[in-house]
Amino acid sequence: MVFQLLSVRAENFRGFGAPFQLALDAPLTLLLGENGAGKSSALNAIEWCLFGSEVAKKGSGIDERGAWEVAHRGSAGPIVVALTMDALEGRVVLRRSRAADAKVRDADTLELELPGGDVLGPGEIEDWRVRNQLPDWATWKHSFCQHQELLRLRVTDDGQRSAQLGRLLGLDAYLAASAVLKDLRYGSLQKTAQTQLADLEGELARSMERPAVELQEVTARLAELGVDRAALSGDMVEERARVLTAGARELAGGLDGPLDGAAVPDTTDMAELAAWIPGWLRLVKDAGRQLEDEAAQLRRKQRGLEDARASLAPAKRRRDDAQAALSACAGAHGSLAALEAERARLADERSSLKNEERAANETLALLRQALKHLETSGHAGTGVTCPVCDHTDPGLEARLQARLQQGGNGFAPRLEALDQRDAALAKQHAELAGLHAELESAEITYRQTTENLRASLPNDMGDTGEQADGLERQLAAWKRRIEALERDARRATDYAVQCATEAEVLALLGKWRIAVARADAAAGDLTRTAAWEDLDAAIDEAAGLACDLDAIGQMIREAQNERSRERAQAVNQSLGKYYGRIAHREGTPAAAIRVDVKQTATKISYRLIDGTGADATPVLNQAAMNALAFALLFAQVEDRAARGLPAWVQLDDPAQSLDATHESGLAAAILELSARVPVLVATYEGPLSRRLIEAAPDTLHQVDLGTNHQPQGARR
Amino acid sequence: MKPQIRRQLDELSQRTGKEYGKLVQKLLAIAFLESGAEHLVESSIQGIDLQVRLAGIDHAFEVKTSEGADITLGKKDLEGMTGHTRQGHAVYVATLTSGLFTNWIFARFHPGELPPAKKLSAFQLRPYRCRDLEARITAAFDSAVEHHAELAITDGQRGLDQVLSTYPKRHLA
Repeated sequence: MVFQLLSVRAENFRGFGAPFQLALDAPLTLLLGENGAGKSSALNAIEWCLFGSEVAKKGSGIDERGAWEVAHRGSAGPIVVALTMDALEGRVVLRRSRAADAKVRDADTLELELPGGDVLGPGEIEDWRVRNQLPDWATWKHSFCQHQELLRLRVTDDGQRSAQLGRLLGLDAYLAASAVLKDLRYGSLQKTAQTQLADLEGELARSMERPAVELQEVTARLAELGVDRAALSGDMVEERARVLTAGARELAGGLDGPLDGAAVPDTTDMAELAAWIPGWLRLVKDAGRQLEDEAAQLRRKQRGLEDARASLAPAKRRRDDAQAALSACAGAHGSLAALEAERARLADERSSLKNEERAANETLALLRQALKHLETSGHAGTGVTCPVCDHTDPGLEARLQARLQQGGNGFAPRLEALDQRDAALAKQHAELAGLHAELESAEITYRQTTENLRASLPNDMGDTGEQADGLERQLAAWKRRIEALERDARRATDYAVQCATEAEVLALLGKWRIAVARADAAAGDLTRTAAWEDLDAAIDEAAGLACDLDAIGQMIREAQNERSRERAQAVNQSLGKYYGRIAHREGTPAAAIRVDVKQTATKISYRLIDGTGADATPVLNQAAMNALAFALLFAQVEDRAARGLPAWVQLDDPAQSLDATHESGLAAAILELSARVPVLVATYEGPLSRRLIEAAPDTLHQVDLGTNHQPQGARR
Repeated sequence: MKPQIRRQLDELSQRTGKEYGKLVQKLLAIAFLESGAEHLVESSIQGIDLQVRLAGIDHAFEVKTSEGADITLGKKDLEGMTGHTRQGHAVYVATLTSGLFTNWIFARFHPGELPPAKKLSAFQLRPYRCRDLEARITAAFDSAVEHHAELAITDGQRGLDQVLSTYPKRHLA
């Protein structure tokens, strides 16, 4: 082994304000001091010089380093730490410095002074590190020093224990290779690829859903309209368009008038048809209405004619009946004029008779007066002189009385007979007048009916016979015309409904064609696209890489396993030796702790088993855990030294949690290790230090730091 | 593979259950015969599933189908493939898994590289793919599914055997 630390010098670093120098060239260096004396600062100085900010950040792997201050609080000068060491090049000085007011992200100044005075910068120092096989921070952290935080994790944490044991077996290179493979995450390549493919598939499925739903809706509506979904084809639009326009032309030519001149396009183009159909539908509907109006009008005329025809016969019959009745009545009673003449004669006769009656009544009144006078004058019986003619007639009274007894001479019966005769004539007259009136009314009705009928008939119809024939012909002609109009109107209406449906079908078919194209595009074979081929090739490459990495990993694991087994015996001896010493169990089965190698298809792991083959760690107490942790560290450092690698171990307050027996055992182990590897122990006055001082007076370099060296604390 | 074909295969799988693998094998046989296979031997019971002479070269196919992304290769499968490799045949694991992006993967078999009775993902077979062969068969397979999947659902293997029997170059082992 060429590499050896010789001394460390620190200034303005953590606990050290003033320059502090510590020789490290003895096999065992013992730093003694109370708490705060600067023991840990001395050890930290070595780490900081070698690894800089790596040791002083959260990612250092040591939690307490997250809030670490490098600078000595109260010092304004630059922080400087220098390590003097023997290396392949001879005696060199590695110097790391940092301005007191440097920001966290400011880089340190690092230089390496070579024996000839040449100075190497950071990049060259890395090469120098590799050349001298100096450890990186992770290796240092686990294999060169005992940090309180990390000590027991070596045993208690499965991963760290396995890694530690792997290092102990000298398998750093394999572990590093495995770590590289793990960093490449080849195991997740497959999952990543599959996840991405699944995501893509999900996305594709979603994008396919919408066109599929659209297609389904269009197809369902077409089915409702009577279009068999099984018969749907790309040519159907053209076929139905041709049928539609042919039907339109047939209708236009067959309606006899309303659609004359209407243009029907000779096309199957959906856009042209879509522009034409609404106007055409309006035309057809208007034509239908026009035909219906015409038919209704004709129907009204037909009804008028039929009504006229129906009322003609009754009117004629009434007139004839009236004539017959009048004739019969006239034959029986004479004419109306004769009846009137007779009644006039009867009136004259009655008037004469009435006069006669009046004269007779006046005579009778006079006679009664005369008789009364005779009676009052006393002339009655003795003759009476007529008061009228002064004729005295002795028989006058009697004659007067006889005369009075004769009365009005029968005027009343004669008048009554006359009145009866007149009443009979009046009745006959009224009857005859009524018949005359009825005849006149019937005549008028008949005349009006015939005039109406004549008005409803074409002008060229002459006599009644012609009119009757014409009437029937006209009615028959109108009937035919009405039927034709109604048929055409129905045809137009039906066609309009069909055409509207067909227009929707055509529009849906257009949509269907687009939806099919969309669905086809969405459901197309994406695996034949260039993009997919690129992705597929990339996945193949990833799979190839994963396969290769898998194979390499497998080879590494096999070699590692082989190497593990080769090295296991020596390591187990070393481990058992140190564990026995520290735990004071040398030669007992409990000290026969050994490394067990477990290989699976994907990894190798290590554990510690006891003499019975059982897992050793679950039954260990705290002191035994610490003992085992130290044993692992010591065995590992010893192994590095045995392999000619730079080896060094520094222990910061290692006696924690150890009783006197274990302290004694630890001292014995340190003494044994220091025979092979330089050891730096920082501790306080106690059993451990005393045992070391007593046992190694010649090889021990003791530095007493005394009391507190950092009264103002430390700062970064 | 067209999604339409994928859907037909999914339906075939759902309707035929365990028979699905055998039906796919027969559809693949039809595809090979339609793609110009000069000779095809179909193993109905054991041994390599399909032996196909294409362009004068003897190929052997162990056909594997799966609902998921993994397939299982048993010891007998590996022995069968190893045996054919020794006979100088170009041996492939023909894999058809589920998924919209699924196509046939014809992975060239190298004895000793695949562990027996282990679940293998199609991903792991990808480094061994023979893309030319896959490209040659994909369209023919799509066509075979398109034309015969319905028959496979209704009549099963018997129906597809009737179709296969019309190809004079098809033989049964």
